[in-house]
Amino acid sequence: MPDVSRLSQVRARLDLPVARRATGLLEGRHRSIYKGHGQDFDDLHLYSPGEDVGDIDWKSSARAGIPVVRRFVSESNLNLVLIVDTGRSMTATAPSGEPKHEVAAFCCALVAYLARDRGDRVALVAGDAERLEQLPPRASTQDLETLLRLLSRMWTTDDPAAAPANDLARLLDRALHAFTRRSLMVVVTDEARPAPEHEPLLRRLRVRHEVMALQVADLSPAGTAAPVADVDGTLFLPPFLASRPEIARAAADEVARRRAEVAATLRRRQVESTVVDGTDDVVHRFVELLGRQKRAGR
Amino acid sequence: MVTGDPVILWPWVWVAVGVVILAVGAAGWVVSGRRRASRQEATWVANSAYLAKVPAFRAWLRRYRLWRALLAAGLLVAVLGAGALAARPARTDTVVERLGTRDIVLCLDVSGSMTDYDGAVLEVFQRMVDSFQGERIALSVFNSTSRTVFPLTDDYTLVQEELQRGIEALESVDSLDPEDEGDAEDILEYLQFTAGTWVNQDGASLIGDGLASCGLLFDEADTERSRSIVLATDNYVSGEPIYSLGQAADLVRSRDITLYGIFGGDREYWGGPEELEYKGVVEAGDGLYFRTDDPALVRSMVDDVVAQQAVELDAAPEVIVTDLPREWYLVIVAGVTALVLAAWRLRE
Repeated sequence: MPDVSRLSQVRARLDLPVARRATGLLEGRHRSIYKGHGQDFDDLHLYSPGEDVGDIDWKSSARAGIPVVRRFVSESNLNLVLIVDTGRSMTATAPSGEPKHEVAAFCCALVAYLARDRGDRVALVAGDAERLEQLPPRASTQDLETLLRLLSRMWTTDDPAAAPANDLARLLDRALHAFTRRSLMVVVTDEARPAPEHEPLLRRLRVRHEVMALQVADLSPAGTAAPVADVDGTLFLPPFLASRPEIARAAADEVARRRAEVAATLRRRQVESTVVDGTDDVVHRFVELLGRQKRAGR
Repeated sequence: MVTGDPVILWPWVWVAVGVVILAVGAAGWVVSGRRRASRQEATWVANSAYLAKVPAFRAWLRRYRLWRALLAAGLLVAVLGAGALAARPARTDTVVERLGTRDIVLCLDVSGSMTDYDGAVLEVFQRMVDSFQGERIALSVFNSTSRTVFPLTDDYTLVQEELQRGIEALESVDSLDPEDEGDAEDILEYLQFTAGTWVNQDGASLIGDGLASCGLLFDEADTERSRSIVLATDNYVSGEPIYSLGQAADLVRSRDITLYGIFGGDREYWGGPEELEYKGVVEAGDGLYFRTDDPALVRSMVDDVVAQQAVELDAAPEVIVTDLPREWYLVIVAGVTALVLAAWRLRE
């Protein structure tokens, strides 16, 4: 697997219309970053299928009688910062059955792929309670591959329970101080984070940057027949309890409540977020997220 | 027989079973714990701490712990019961085997003059049979010929029935009137009981023949048993017997049988030649000899006979151990039931 380009893996999974749409959305995202900074459009051109309907300039369209799209000057010198949680909880299992870090790695690869298409630069802050890796913004395919490989190395572990604990606050703090230029910060973590204690940091980060969160969902321990173990070693779930549908239902309710709580925290801080269940889910959710964020940004 | 209290015969087995099972259980727990620790196939999950706060989970956890407690209790009870059973709960009874190897043949002369004494002898034996344990008793009646009422047996129900029949048949023979219709039934009873005793019409009260017949009733000649004949007669012979009294007594003695004699004649015959002959024959064989004109005294005589034999036969006391597993077995069943039930529920 290390021999295969991670970016080409993303391309293999990304069908072209979606890719174009995603790139376009990211573009719009950037535009919103520079909104009010005197950024002006390049030209108007006729709408062609596949482009974001949200990009249609309705006033111009009304004048012309056909849909017209406003195109902005392509800004190539943008920063995208991946804030990646590599802690213990990321070694657990996602609902799709894959390890959560695989899903997170794919999220990062997707972001890197889209950024490269636009010529944006991608920086990295990754770590946990024991480790902290930081890479400066780079745009080349080579550098992006290096970035993704570094992440992959950090996640490789034999014993999930022995992996270092999560420490998102440290990552956010580092990102806050390391990047002064206005950037798009993409926080890749799991569904339990950012927790309420991360809210002050998020608020400060949000003042200076655009922030969005990609959260990898957790597999619910209840309702599974196979033996489960928590990476934190806290779970006590004998088979007698694991197979109870009532417990699974109540647990699902509790998970939904917790997700809503995290989502509410993020929304309060104007951070759009999405929860992904597996690698198959990532592209769809990410496009949806970008669309949501673009509308929110306007 | 001395009945002991229920006790645990081997308490150390109980302790040993407990210790062994605890040791095996602890070893199994350690091994399975090590295996669990090294197990890698578990699905790893994260952020599951919320589960402990879910009310449904807590309710089920309580139920789970309850079943676990039942499982442990069942196991404990089963182990306790199994240990107790292995340790042999038993009752020890001390039995003095006094009478178990004794054969007694009642040899009754049922000629008319003896019926009162015969009834008394039968009554005494009927009472004695209640306390018999393993003794065998036979009843033979004779007049000119012998009839075996029942051979040597320890079927005491049969013995009691036959003795009762004999008592009823001999009870009031002297007052029966053959002309009286009302006595017909009693007469029939008497005739039935004494049937076969007057086949030889040439004589009556052939004592020697009767005694010889009784002497042939003993079986198991090879085994070491106490054999005795209680003969009740007035030794009034009429007719030609095959065996004289002396010959019959020799035959009996040659078979290691002790002869006890009861003389049932009236006082006027005491000291007569018949009595002297009878007494001489009995005492020559080291037997006890009694004479009485009072049937009520027969009882004490027979008691004497039995007591005499009891002394001779006093054996070493025997300890009989009777296992009493039932209660502990039920304990095991209860424990295992709880165990299986809980294990089944937990595995479900």
